[in-house]
Amino acid sequence: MKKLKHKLRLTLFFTVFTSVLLHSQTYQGHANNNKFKQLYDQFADPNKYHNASGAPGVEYFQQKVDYVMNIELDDENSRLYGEETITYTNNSPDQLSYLWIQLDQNIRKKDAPALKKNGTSNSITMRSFESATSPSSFISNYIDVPFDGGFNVDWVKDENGNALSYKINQTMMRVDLPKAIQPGGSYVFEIKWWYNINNHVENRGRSGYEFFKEDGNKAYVIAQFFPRLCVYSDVEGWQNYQFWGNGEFALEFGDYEVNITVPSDHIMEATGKLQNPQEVLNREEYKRFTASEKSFDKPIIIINEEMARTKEATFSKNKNTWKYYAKNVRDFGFATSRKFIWERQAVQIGSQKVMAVSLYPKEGNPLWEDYSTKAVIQTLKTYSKFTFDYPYPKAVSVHAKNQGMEYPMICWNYGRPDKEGNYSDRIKFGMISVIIHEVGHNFFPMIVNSDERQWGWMDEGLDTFVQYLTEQEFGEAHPNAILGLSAYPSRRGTPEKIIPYMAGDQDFISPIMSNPENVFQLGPNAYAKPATALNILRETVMGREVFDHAFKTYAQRWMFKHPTPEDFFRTMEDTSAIDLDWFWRGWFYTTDVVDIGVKNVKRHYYSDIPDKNAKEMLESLGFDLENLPDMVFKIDEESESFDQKTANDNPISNSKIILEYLQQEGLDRNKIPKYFYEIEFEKPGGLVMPLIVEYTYDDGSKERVTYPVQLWRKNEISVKKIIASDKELIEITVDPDKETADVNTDNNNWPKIESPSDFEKFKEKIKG
Amino acid sequence: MPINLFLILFFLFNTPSPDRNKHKFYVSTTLIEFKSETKSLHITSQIFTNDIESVLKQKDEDLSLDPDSNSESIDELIVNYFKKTLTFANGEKKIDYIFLGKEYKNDITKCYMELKFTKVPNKIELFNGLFLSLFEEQQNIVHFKNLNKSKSYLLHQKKPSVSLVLIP
Repeated sequence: MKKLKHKLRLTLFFTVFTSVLLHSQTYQGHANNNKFKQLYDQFADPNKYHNASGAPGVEYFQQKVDYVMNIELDDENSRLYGEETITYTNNSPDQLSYLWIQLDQNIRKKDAPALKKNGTSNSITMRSFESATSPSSFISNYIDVPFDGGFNVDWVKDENGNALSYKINQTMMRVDLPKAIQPGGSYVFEIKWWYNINNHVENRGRSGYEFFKEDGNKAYVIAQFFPRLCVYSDVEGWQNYQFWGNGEFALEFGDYEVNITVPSDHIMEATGKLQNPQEVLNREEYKRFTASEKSFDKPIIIINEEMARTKEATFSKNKNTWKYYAKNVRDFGFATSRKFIWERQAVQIGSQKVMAVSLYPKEGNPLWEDYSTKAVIQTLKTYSKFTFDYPYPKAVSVHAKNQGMEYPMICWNYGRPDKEGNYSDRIKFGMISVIIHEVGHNFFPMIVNSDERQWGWMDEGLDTFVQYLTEQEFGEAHPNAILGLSAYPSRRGTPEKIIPYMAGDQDFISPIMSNPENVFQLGPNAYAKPATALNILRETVMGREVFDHAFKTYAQRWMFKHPTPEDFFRTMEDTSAIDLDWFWRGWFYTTDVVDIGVKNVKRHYYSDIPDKNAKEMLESLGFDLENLPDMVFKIDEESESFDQKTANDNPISNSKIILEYLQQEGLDRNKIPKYFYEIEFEKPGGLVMPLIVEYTYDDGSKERVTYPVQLWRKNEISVKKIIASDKELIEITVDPDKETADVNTDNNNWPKIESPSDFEKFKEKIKG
Repeated sequence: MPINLFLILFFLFNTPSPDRNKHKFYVSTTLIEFKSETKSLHITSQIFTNDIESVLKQKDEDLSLDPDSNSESIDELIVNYFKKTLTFANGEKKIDYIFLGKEYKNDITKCYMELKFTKVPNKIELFNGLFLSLFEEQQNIVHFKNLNKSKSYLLHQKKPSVSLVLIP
């Protein structure tokens, strides 16, 4: 076949050459704009701390910060008081002469600059078009005395009680040390502080209290409540990005010993293992608490609704101190109230027993008793499967109005029925999804501890991706919960759901690789798009097995460490032997979209006689038409020489050269496929993706072909493919299963299909 | 305070709240397709059911959507809300449309509207004020399709209107 191939190639050669001729006068140079260009221009160089395979390097280091804290809640005045002893261990190779401490509560200071930053839409004035805007927000903004939030730091001392000098800059505090901490050394110091707790329902925020006017109680969900050390790393030095409200947290791991004093009728949950249940619970409560540790099949209710109602009315003046210990966590949160119903169930995760816990006011029922603990358990199971066995002793889901926020071992979640206890599917699935998402954050970023202040997507995107997998498994495990649906109705994750965002106005879209403070649409940017990109990577680009191995390797390499975006990108490639630079560049570093379609389909046959176009080309190249060397020409449907009869008869009967060649080689001319088509695929979208095509033939048979993404390496505008077949091609569909998030499907079919829009379908439906 | 002054003050100031809750993203998507052969616009708005419910609750505290507590009155409220907040105009002149209906899909409400022109103007002004009164950060995505050309816009408080070219 060598000779024949050579000739066919010659034909093709002409086509390419013409276009070169037409443009041969351009000498304007350009840099490498190839979509498959190596990502070195975007990546930080690998080094001893973060190596080129995406793993921690040989000299990777991480600081350790241990806290011993005594906290007291003044329920009546909504104040929180604390005294903390911090042990800072310097594992870096550097001398540290000062420490930076985060004071996130300071975003609620009356004069916080964050109050003057512009909103998401860059709004300067509020023009109300409906004039239905609530006067209450006006009053709280302009008439009420502004909320007096933020830390009041009483003192900062060394372990011998000597005052240390410190300087507060907005949400951060620098403590100047009398002597630098040497590499390998550690330093102990103490801070005393207090602050006014905000009402998170009225003033928003990730923590605070909800006030229940019916019974006069508050339900507290408390976090970012103590001065916390900033991260010191090889990447940023001291983390120096202020807390502006959107970018979340960057924190060091350490051990926490926390004693929290609250009214004695409160029930509490917190990060860490409760050390003194016998002291804070009565005999019966303690019995159920212990029993729950052996209850693997259903939750044990430690405080039921009736008991919670009793506590709601007591307003005890006595106090209880709940003592917690947490090993190797990056933060600490707690929830406390007289109103809490409390249930716990044991789950076996690998070799470890984990307590799945729910804590909710009666206002959350019956929804919460129905689904909260189930959602926690599913999250622990599915996430562990895709990453590592959940290493902490418990995971707690707390119900707080309008909240969705995560801390180690504990999170706050929304989802409340109406006053009669009724809830719709929307409320139910919203609640299950937020619980899965927030409990899932234990894995990203509580354990795989990326820098949220810099990169929202590294935890939100990865978490939303595994959330999607978990929701689907929840649906399979609890068919009654999704009665009437074929699968759990995930809001994010499937490719078609991201299209409205990606197809949007480019002026308001940022690449995923942007700081969360600077993007217009944080939800799609940091949650939905990266989750969808990973889903596409798994299903369409890498395949499940290869992806799952790579993803798990990343999670395990970086558990209890601080990964960077490059560590994720590199690990995914390094463990799979798949170069994904093109994917990261397109999906993460640009706002390009997928739009691939079929442009043209031309049937053709082969002939020894050139048609008009070929003749002109041959002449222009100096060939003597009367005396051509052996050449075969493609005569397609658009050529004036095209003869339908010849095409139908045999596509090579017009080429003596091919026929002779077949004879020489002893091949049967009737074995030559009957139909030859040249199909041109176009790519108006900026993203390169594998080209998935379904060919349908006249006998109804279908053939699925996936051309690798490398198809677009040398020409990313359009590519041609020849299909040779014994059957007539009647239909071509690009991306038949809608798995690439193609923003424009008008060009996905040949012949063009006018598929009815949702609008047309709806109109048809209401007619009938 | 006299009511006028109150409103004026409100229009002039706006303070973003710090440390906002997360997982709350205020966005709607409206697809508008111009059909020259029938001289009409096919309009599909996808909005979060929670958002439209919050807006309607301002008129009737006790209603709830999906399932609807009272489908007739809710439909009427939705139509009224849309006709006020999603409007089309040719110069100064408003052009009315037919609200065909709505359907729920998961946590989304899809609303379908059709605008029929007697004479097709060269361009029309779209005003999309959906939920702008409710959320300072509301963003309304508009995809406009005319023949085979699509164009997208992001509308928000500061820029709630856009001009759509029907006859280039």
